[in-house]
Amino acid sequence: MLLVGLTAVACGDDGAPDADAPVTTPSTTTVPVTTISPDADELPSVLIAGDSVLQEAAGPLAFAIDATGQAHAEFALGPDLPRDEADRALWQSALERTDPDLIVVSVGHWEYLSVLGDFAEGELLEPGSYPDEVIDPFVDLVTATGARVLWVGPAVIADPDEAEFVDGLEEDFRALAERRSEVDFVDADTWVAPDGFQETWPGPGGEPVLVRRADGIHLCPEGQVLLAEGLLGEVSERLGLTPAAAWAEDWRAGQEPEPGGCAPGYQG
Amino acid sequence: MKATLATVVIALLTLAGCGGDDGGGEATDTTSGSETTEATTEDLSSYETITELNDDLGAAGIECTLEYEGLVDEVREISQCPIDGAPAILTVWYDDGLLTEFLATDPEAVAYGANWTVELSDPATATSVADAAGGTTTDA
Repeated sequence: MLLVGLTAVACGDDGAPDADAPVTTPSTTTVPVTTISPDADELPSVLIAGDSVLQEAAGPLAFAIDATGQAHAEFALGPDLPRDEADRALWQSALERTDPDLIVVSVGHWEYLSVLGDFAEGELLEPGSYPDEVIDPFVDLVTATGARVLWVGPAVIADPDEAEFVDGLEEDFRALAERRSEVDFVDADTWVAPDGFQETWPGPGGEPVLVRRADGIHLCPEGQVLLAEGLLGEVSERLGLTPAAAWAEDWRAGQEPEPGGCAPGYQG
Repeated sequence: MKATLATVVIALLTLAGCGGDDGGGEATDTTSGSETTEATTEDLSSYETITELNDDLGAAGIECTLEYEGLVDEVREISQCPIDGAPAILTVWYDDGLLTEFLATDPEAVAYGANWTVELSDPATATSVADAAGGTTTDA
C-alpha cells in the first residue's frame, strides 16, 4: 500500500489528473468508527495537537482537511502531555481557540524524555502510574466539551533503546482506547513504517524515496504526505469528509524544496 | 562570587542589548475567585529565539544541550534539555496572553522574563537560570 502511495506521490509531477488521488488505506481501528455530528451551523473543527513529528504531517493533513471545504483544521504544538496546571492552561487555551469536534493527538520522543524525567524527579514512582496520573487526566481535559480523540501511536524511531521505551508508551495509548469510548487509536507505523524503521521506500521506478529524516525521528516531506494520507482517511471517515483528489499535489506546490529533497532534521 | 556577580552584570548588559523588549506588560492572574498571582515582567529580558536564550545560559556556565534548536508553532518556540541533571523546558512566547495564562497558574521553579520561560524542578536552579538570563522566578 505504501508503494502505491509513493507511486501516486512520484507520478504527481506529470500532471496526470489522477496522479495524486488519495491512497485508500485500511482503517486500523478495531472498533466501529463513531461518526461525529458537529453543530449543523458550523464546519467541523479538527485540532491536530502533538509533537514535532505530528506537526510535520499536520501541514499536509490540515491542508487536505481544509481543501475539502467541509471542515477546518489547526495545529497546536504539544510535544508532551500536560503534567501541571501551567501545561493544562496551554492545552485549555488551544481547546478554547479551536472548539474541536475531533482532536488528533500524537506524542512520542518528548514524552519519552518527560516520562524519564518524571521518574528521575519522583513525580512518577511506579511504572504503572503513567496512565492514571498522566494519560487519563489529559483525556478528561480534552474531551470535557464532547470532542472525540484520534490518538496516533508514534512512528517508530531509529534508536533501538528509545524505540523500545516508546513502544511501551504506545501500549498504554492502545489500552487507553480500549477503556475510553471517546478515544480511537491508530498507529502511524501503519503508513510510514509497517515493517519497522526505514529511511527510504522504493519509488515507482524502484528508486529509493526518502520518507524519514537522517535524525532517525522525523518525516521527510514524502513521509509527511504518507502519514497525512493515512490520517486523512481516518478523519474523513469520522467526519464524513470527501477529500479533494489533488490535495497532495496542491500541497507540494506550495512548499519550499528541502536540500536533497529532505533536510536531515526537523524544519521548524 | 565575583565571577557570579560579573556574570549577572554581563547578563544584565546582554539584556539591555537584547532589544525587542517592548515592555512585555504584566503577567496577571485572569482567573476569578481565586488568589491572584501578579508577576511583573517589565524590565525583564526578552529573546528572539531559544538559541539566544540558551547562549546566555551557556555564558553563565549553565550547560543545556538542546534536544532541538526549538519546535515552533504560531504561539511559541519550545525546546528542552537537562540542566543539573533534571529536565528543563525552554519557551520563547509569541503570544503575551498565553505567557500570562501560564504564569497565572503560579507554577513552581519557573524562571521567566518578558517573553520567555524556563521550567525547572528545583527553585535554586530556577534562580540561577533567571540570574543568567536577566529574569526572575515564580518563587521570588
